[in-house]
Amino acid sequence: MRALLYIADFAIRGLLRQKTKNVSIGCLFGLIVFLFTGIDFVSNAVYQETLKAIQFQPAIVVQNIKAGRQVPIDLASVSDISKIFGVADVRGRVWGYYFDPYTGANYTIVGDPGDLAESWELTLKGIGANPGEPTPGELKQGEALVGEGLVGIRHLSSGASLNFQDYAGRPISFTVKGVFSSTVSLWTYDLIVLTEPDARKLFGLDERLAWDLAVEVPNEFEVPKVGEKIIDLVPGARVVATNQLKRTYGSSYGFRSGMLLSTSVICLLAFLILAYDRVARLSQEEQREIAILKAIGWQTADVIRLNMLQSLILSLTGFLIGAVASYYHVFFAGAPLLRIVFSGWSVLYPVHPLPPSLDLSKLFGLMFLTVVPYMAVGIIPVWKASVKDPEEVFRA
Amino acid sequence: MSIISLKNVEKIFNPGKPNEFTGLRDLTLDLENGQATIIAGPSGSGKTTLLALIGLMSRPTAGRITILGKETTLLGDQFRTLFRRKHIGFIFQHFQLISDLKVRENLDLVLYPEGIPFKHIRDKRSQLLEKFGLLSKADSRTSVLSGGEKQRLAIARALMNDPEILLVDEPTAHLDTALSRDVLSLFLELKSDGRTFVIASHDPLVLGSDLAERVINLRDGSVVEEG
Repeated sequence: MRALLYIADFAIRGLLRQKTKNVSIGCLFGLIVFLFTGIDFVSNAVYQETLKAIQFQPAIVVQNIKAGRQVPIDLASVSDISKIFGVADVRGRVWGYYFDPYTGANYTIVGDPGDLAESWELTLKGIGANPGEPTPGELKQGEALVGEGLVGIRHLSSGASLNFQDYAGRPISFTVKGVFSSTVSLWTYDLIVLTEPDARKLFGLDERLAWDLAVEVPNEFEVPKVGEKIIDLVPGARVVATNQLKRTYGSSYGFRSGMLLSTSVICLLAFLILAYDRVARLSQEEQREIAILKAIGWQTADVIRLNMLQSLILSLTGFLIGAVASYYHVFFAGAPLLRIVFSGWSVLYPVHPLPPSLDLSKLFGLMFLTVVPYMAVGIIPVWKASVKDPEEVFRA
Repeated sequence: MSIISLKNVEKIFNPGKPNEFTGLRDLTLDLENGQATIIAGPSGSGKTTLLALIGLMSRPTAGRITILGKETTLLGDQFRTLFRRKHIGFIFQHFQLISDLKVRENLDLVLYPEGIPFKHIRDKRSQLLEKFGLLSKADSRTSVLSGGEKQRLAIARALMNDPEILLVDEPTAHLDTALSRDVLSLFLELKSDGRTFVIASHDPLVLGSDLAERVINLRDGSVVEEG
């Protein structure tokens, strides 16, 4: 054990002896890991965020489709759908997107049916030092609740005005009543809650209409059957099941990260070729050093241990630096280099921080795929050099 | 008593290739315990090859080599290395020091595989550095040492494991006369501890020194004269 510690100490000093070369290799290693882990961090975080948002959605969303486009749905079908066996609740939802030219962001505006904060688990609080905490029921016409992130983007304060234009271009103003935080990071940056009548007024939605219908089905096994019955009752309707959405998002982010990963594999291969080239052909000086160690009594196993420790220290350091830098880049700097690959048009702005999410099995998998091959490619040339008679090397 | 015994030893380099070359031919020798033997002969006569074979750093093409009563010819790499570490110290013609290591690190390396407490390594190293006048250079890079200092460091390194046998290849090749005399007197001092010396040299200074208890002349890989 003590011998191994001496060898480890000598391995570190050996790496420091060739600082420039080893720092370059470590940086290159870190860069590859930075790219690979970055893709995985973003893909995983966005997917997890999407799943979190979906869990607050109803089991089925019914949309009205005309000419292949979504249009408002008539609330007359609500009573028919609610009679379907297995349906617990049906309600029309009033919501939409609003482009804010002031910040260039797309906000999601939702008309509060009265229990939105409770059902979406929004934690409400007053702005600034105002101790009066508003409850959704208290939200009056002309008032709005905004997410914490939005407060920063719009530089809002208690009682501030949100000046929008309605569907016809007329000015419409709302007073910020309070802010909310949420476990879904995106909501705090793009969600604005209005009273349902205000949302109707903003979007020009008649009282007989809603943007879509939310259908609650407690037993998830009944969802497909309920969906079929809804289509029979509402011809032309599109029925979207939440579990179907989960699968779609999963494959969508999987596809994007897969596309990016497949191009990055080329980088990894290039690096491994470079690494192979570096370690597969030992220089005359490296061979002489091994011969000296053998001549003074180091076993072949000691020499291989020394080489493996150096490779391990170098590659593990590169890996950790790459992974930590990538974690910082994705979860603290907002992943400016990768975000655009994963974001769709509607979430290009506002930029919101991705909630930290770490899949350790994938991280260890990547470590196995980078550190182990790097260590392995060096073993054979070192073994070949160390089983040579020292005299043969010195003579050469 | 014979400590090193070679029977019909032959060494052929690059066998079967166009550049095949016979380094030693049918060599039979017995070297006595505690004796200093000078292997003399011109360049290419096989002196270094013979030292490398005795030092288990090369394998004979034919014949048998017995050291300290142990038949070493068929030993595997692991046992040859272990045997070398325990019993043999080698001082190379070109020193073969790791030049970008510190002086003390070149010495410490010898005892690392033993796994002994570092205090013992440090004590042994300090004792040798002091003995060879290198204590003040302990933290210097080996590359900045003079030829004489490198030679003394190479000798110190060969003594780190307290070997019974010291093999020395052309010890005065890179030294001036004064330094050569210093080195030879160092060897005489070490020999008085009872070590067996095998020195390859064609330097008249070495051949005429008190170290030359026995001189074996080689030419074209064979013993031509012994005295």
